[in-house]
Amino acid sequence: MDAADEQRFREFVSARSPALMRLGFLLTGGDQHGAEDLVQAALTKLAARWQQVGAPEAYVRQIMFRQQVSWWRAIGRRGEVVQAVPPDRAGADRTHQSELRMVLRGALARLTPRQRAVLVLRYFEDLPEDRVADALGCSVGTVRSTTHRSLARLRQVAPELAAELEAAP
Amino acid sequence: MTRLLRDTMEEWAGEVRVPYHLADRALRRRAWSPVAAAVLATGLAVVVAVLAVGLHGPNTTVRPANGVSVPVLPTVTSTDVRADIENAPPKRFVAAGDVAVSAYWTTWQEPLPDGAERVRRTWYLYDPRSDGYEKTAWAWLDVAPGLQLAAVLQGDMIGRRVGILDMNSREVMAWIDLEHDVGSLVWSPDGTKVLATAYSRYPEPSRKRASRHSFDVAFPASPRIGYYLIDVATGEAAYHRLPALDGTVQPGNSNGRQDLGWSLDGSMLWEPTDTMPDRLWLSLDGRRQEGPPGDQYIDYSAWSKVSPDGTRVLSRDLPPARPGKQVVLQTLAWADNDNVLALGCAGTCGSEFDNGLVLVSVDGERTTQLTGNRDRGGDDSWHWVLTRRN
Repeated sequence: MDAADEQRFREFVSARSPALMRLGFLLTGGDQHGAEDLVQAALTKLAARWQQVGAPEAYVRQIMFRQQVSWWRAIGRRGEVVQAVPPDRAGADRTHQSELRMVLRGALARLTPRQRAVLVLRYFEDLPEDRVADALGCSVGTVRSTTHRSLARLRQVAPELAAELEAAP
Repeated sequence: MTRLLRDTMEEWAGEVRVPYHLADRALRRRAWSPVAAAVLATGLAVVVAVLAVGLHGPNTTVRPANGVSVPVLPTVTSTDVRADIENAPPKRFVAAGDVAVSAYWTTWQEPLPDGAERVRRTWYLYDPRSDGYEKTAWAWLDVAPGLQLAAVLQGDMIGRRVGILDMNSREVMAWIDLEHDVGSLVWSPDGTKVLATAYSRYPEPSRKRASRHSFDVAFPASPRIGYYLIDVATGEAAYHRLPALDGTVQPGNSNGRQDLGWSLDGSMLWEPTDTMPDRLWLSLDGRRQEGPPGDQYIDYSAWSKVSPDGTRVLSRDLPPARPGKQVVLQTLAWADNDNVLALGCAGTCGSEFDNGLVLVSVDGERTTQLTGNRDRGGDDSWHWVLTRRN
């Protein structure tokens, strides 16, 4: 990498790191340190292949998706973010949207990284199923079944969200 | 539903903090190619070898894998017994056989704004110039086998800057900057790497006085997040995520501080539990695995139960020279094939906390006091760091 390449790499990181960190934060279930590690590892790989990579952002995102799932495999379920207390259970009188979002955060944090990645890609990145499958290196059928299981898990973890989540496509 | 998921994720993602040095880190890591590191290590080794000759004359050797680490060892090994029986903690250097008290730490209680308090450490490091111990301001330290180098942590309680200190000149030869705070440092048995345990905050619990004789101690979840393996020769620090052990499952650990250690041969790592088995084993990249076959450890320590010549194994107690007379409270390390460094009790062993370091023969016949006795149950206790001398 020559000085000009390095300058372009720095500009890319400067422009895109907020978006990449937001994505990393969601993929790791709200873990600041985990998100930094995830983005850092992906950027290090990008730097090593900077001259060969045509679409750097897509490359970094793909590494992040796959890295997150493989880290989880490597360290087993301990990779999940442990909540100090179970997700807040909203009562019948706590139906305000902001409270529901807090409950949903807690439930998302309790998914496996793979389940969370599918939901992040579908609903945060707004990708169609075939592109989610590309990103995660699996079939469209697997994306569908994982989405289904992820939503079922959210309903199980946070029953007060069941009514909201029934309307899932 | 789609909207709820989107809104939730949008709002949540907005809480992330964006570090400003991501590009620097990525470029720096990429720059540590094996070839560049090897060239650098070779260059540094040459520089240090020259320095070593200058310091110690011709009677010196340089350990194989060194570079910056460069433990320069006298060819004549040190095995003499050094004691300071008047003082606890010692003021003069304490050692016996192949084991030395290379450092020690004392504790004090830091008052917190809410009326609670938490334990803090003050570190003292062996100083070969004065043959005593020097009070330091490091947040943590550990001395490499051979007593030539120390790894020191810059910071208040935890920190991101690790220094490699030359014990003889007292100068920091290299600084290694990390992305996460670390709370402990341990040299590998071969003196080429430093294992640093990373925490998201200071891991010691706080306590509040509940009555004249008791405290309420807060035990929040351990903030351990991972560890670094620092190659001292290249300055390269490889980070590995490793969440803390849970205290509610067995084997687990409910302590905030969960510092990692090395296997005897340096090929594996262990994380401590608060029960038995006293450690869980990991590969160097953090995968759980079976412990090294045949390794036997003194409980909760990094020291082998097996004597250096491999012919004896320590049991929990040493045989008393006179039936019914307790010899020591606890064995700590083999000093040589016939003697063990141990925690000796004062007088008739009436209080397990009133004790000091002793050297005891394996038959319990001969006991040599190494430090003064002191009641170590209170807040002003001292804790030794044992290191191989040769």
